Amino acid sequence: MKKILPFILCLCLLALSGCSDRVELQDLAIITAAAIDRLEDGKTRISIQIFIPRSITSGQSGEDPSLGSTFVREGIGDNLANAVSMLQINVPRKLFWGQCKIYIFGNKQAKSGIRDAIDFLARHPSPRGTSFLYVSEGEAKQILTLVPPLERYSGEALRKLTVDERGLITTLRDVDMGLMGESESVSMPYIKTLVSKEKGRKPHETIPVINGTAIFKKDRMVGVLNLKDTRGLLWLKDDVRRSTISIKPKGEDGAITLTPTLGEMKVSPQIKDGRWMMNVSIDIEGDIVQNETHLNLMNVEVMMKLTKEYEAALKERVTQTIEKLQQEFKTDVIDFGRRFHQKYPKEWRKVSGKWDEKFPEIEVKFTVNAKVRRPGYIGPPAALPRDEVKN
Amino acid sequence: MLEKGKISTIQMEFMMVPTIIATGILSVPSIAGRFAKHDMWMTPIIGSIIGFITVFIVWKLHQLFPKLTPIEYSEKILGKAVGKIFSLFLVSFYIDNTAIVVRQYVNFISGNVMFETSSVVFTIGILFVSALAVRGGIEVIARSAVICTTIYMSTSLFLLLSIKDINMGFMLPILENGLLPVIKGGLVHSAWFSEFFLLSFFFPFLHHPKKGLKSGMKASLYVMLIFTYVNFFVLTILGVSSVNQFYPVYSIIRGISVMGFFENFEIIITASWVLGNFIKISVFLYVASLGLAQVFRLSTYRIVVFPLSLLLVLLSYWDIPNIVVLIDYLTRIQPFYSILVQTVLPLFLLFIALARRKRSGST
Amino acid sequence: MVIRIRRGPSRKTTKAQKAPKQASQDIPLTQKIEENIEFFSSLYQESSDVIFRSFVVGEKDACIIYIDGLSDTQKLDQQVLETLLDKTEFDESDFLLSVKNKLPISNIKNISTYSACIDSIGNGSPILLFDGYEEALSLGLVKYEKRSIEEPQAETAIRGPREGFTESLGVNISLLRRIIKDPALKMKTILVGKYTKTKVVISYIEGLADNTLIEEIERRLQTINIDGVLESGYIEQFIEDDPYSPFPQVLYTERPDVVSANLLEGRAILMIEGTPFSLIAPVSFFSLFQSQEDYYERFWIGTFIRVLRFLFLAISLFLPSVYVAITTFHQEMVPPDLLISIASAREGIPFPAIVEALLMEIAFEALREAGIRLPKQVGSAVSIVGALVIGQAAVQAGIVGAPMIIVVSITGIASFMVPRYSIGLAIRLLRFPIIILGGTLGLIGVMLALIILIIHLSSLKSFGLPYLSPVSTVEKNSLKDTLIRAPLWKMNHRPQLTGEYKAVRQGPNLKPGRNKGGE
Repeated sequence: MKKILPFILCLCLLALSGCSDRVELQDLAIITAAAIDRLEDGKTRISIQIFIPRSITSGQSGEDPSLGSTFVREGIGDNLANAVSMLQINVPRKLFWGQCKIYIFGNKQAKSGIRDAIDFLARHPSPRGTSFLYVSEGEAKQILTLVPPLERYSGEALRKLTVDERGLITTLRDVDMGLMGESESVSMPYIKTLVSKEKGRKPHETIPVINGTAIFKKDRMVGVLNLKDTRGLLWLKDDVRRSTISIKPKGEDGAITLTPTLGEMKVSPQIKDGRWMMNVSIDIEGDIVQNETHLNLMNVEVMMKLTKEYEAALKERVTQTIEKLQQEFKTDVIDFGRRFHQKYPKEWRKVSGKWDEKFPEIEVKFTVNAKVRRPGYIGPPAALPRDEVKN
Repeated sequence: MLEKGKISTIQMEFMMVPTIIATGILSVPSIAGRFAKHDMWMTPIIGSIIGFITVFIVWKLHQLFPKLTPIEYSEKILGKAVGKIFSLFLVSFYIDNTAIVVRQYVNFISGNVMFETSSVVFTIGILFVSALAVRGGIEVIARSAVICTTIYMSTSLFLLLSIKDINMGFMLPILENGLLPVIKGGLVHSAWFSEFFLLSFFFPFLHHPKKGLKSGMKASLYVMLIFTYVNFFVLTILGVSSVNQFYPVYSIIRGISVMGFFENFEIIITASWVLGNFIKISVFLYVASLGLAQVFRLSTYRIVVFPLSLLLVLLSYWDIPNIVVLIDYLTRIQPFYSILVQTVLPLFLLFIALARRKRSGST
Repeated sequence: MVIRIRRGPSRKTTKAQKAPKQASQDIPLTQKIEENIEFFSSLYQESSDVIFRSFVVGEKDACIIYIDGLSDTQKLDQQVLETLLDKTEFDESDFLLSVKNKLPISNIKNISTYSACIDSIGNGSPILLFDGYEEALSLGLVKYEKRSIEEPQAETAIRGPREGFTESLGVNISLLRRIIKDPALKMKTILVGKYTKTKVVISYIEGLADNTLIEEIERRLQTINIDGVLESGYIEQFIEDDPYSPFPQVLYTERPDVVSANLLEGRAILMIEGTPFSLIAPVSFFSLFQSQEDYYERFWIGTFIRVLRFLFLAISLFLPSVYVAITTFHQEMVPPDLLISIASAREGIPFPAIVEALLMEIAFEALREAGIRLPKQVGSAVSIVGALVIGQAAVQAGIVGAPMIIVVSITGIASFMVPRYSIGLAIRLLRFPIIILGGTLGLIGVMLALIILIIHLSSLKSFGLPYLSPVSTVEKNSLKDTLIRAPLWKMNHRPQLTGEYKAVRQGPNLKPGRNKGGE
């Protein structure tokens, strides 16, 4: 007994003093997504989407499905930290940030700078480094109020869209690292509300979708790449995703559409006679998914020609993107700066302070090496009389 | 002899590895990274040199005085009065170090896992279990160490799950600013490696004392490999931004996600890290209590364990207001202080002992 | 066979008041048969089952004393009395020897003290007294009702011998001797219990078992001074190293094959009269997870099942506490969809998770205990009510969350994975303090509990063998039979126990293969 008694005493001591972190699940308000907006008067507003657990168990009892299983609360303050602390006043349960992985910045907030918000998110123990960050077209709050028809709440719809559809993924850690790194810039998915044209659905019963890429220089948004340029950006970031590309062979009135598959991008920086050059070589394969022309794809020569066209089209697409980045935004979101730093540390030291001036001057050379891997199940165009097929 | 237990060399390795690593993987990668930047994966290799040297010095001393701990042989080497002062200093150094280790542990737990529970609960909790182990004697510590270290080390494999996120590019350019920053960073590590002086308290209790040197060197090598492994992941995943983090390894683990379902399991890693830290604190507490008992020639060290633990609860809150001060201490004071006490002073002891032996041998 | 009387004069623990009676029993028989009979009849006063049969052989008075029901009366009548009462001539010069030679009984012993006579009668061997002799004959005509050899109920096996020990010590010893035929198998008997005088046989293989171990076991057995031994548990609790520990430091089994395997590994066995359970010592924590079938089946399966057992040991020990810790402290660890499911299941539950867990665990333990104790006919009713009340009604009434039911049932199933019942009991007990720690300090509390458990197990010893060996002592040879079960042809060494032991178990290069053998 002599040994056991102090043990039990200690147990009681721990039991008495240890409870203060304890929160029962039924006392938690599970936050599924958060939106940060800047208001007209310069204050920051944070809106959170809170999940209602009751909505699962009493699903069939005739509640209006368009109300969804979440609700939105907001807090307003001088900065994000104050706004967050105002949130708790309006929610009877303890706010639980642990599962919140979606943070959406409003357009205005993004344009006026996100550094303060990022500092709060990185410093606070609850938000995770792997949380997804987005910029919304208008106010970020309205994204949260959407009720998706398929998913349980709009945050989940957005997350699945990002992960499965393989758009640009930007996490909190990426932003932190990007803004700190050599190029001092970052890109984030740009989202907007999908306009639902279905009859019978209320306008808010829809989902947010990715509609481009927001480009940040330092911590301010300087512009948005549209969907087409976003694809170019994805190739440049070695993040080739399934998105089609159409080419129009000469002398044909239709187009042939391919889906790029396996791809690899290599960049090698080069400094020659004071000229900074970037050699980008893209190896890519593609499957033909549609043929509107009269060309017979069983023909080897046609395929050769096609490959060339495909390469040219890719090159054009990427060049367009890089030009936009270099000339319009003057922002190095593709981390060319780091490549130069790694290869030419000495030269880098000279330009490190004024990289945004140097970046537009860099000559970018593309070498695209494309292959058509699969012509699909059929060779010649389908549903076309034999004699109209060109060989 | 106050300690009658015997341990095997492999048990000693199991004890030493978490003793060095447990607090070493918290902030050290980012502290070392602050100096070495892209080359921080090399810093443990530089730092380990001190480890190997310390093991060798300790081994030489052990050969001169087998069956004696430093507390006992310092009196023989330096004479009664000076030896007493030295051993008292050594004991207080380890008491102080134990307090710092406890403080690091508690800071981490209450800053990352349990935000609202008063931190004294964790201080008492870990010191209580460590004191229990220490009262059991070196054999109990050694046997628990085998189990705890196995569990603790196996969770380090979780880092491999983040292998898809690594970017070898962050390691470039290699040695951008020469070797000096790396050595500076290595110095931070070497403070931890100098803790291998603790071996001098274990060598006398080995089943096969002859294998001591090899086993000590092996332990040092393992520690180096694990530190390098950790720093490699910190660097290739977080890049240079890792130097901003107080706990870079924890940040990586927070980011691990397997199939989008198994994620956020940093708490499991923390829990297993508690096991490693328990071994560390037990070893330190054991050395402190054994040393204390030997300095004052007590009949058993077991009676000082609980009073000493109580003292440590107080000491751990003394003089360290927050983690920034702690990090500053770890960066600017500890490397020199630790190496001085645990490597340089023993080296002097060795020289004096050798000189005396030579003189007595020649006359 | 050496029979030692426990309360010998050398024992210092004997209380002074007992001494005179002890001495009177140790005195030798007298020559006068009347005095001897007088002594025994006063001793067996008011014992109607003790039969005194006086008769005359030749010209001498004789008397047979036995207990009705313990001895084979049929043989006594036909073989002893018929021979003696027949007009056979006995050699007068050495009368006892000639009687012994005439009697057709294999097991006859001369005994000369009262205490030996009492033991003999108590064991069922009738004693034969003659007038004028200081010695009596103990006739080995023991016969009492005993259970036949059946398959052990508590330790069933798909593959393996179907014999189990019975309550009869003689049968058990014979079962063991039938397996291990080498004369090195030794059986030392010690009597324990003031009133029951239970025979405890220490069995070991000479040369394999450490001698100091056997001496230590003997020493511990001899210090036992209790009224009676009714089950092996009595012995177990008196010879343990750490009596406060919830963990069994001695293993019990009712399978002769398990006993033999342990004997061959150099362990000692205690067989106790009146119980089918034998004790095995020394044991380590990991031998509690070894089942005989691990060795009978292929080693892959053995290893897989071992790993499974340890996994479920962890589950049955920690699952409820981890569940409580995670749902009340570390909710971020649960994947979002799962968290939402659990949250909605717990919506409206009045109890905190820790109370819920304790409540359900206690209810489950009660059901389990009731299921064992109740008569078989009622048992099924209880389990139906239990399943309905605890399973469905509690969830539907919103008193307990469905996830907790799942956790408790998984825990319940997991605790049956361990092949040794006694460790399962320890785990059931330890679960509760761990739940409390988990509910107050979260996973850190669970870890503190684990650390305390590890310290406790590390400081525990079973007859000098560290309880966590061979893992905590990292012995490479013995590690082959812990978490994994190496192929039999690889296990060339016996596990390291205490003291001296014969390390090599079998010849090297036993791996079977095409190139071995006749070809």
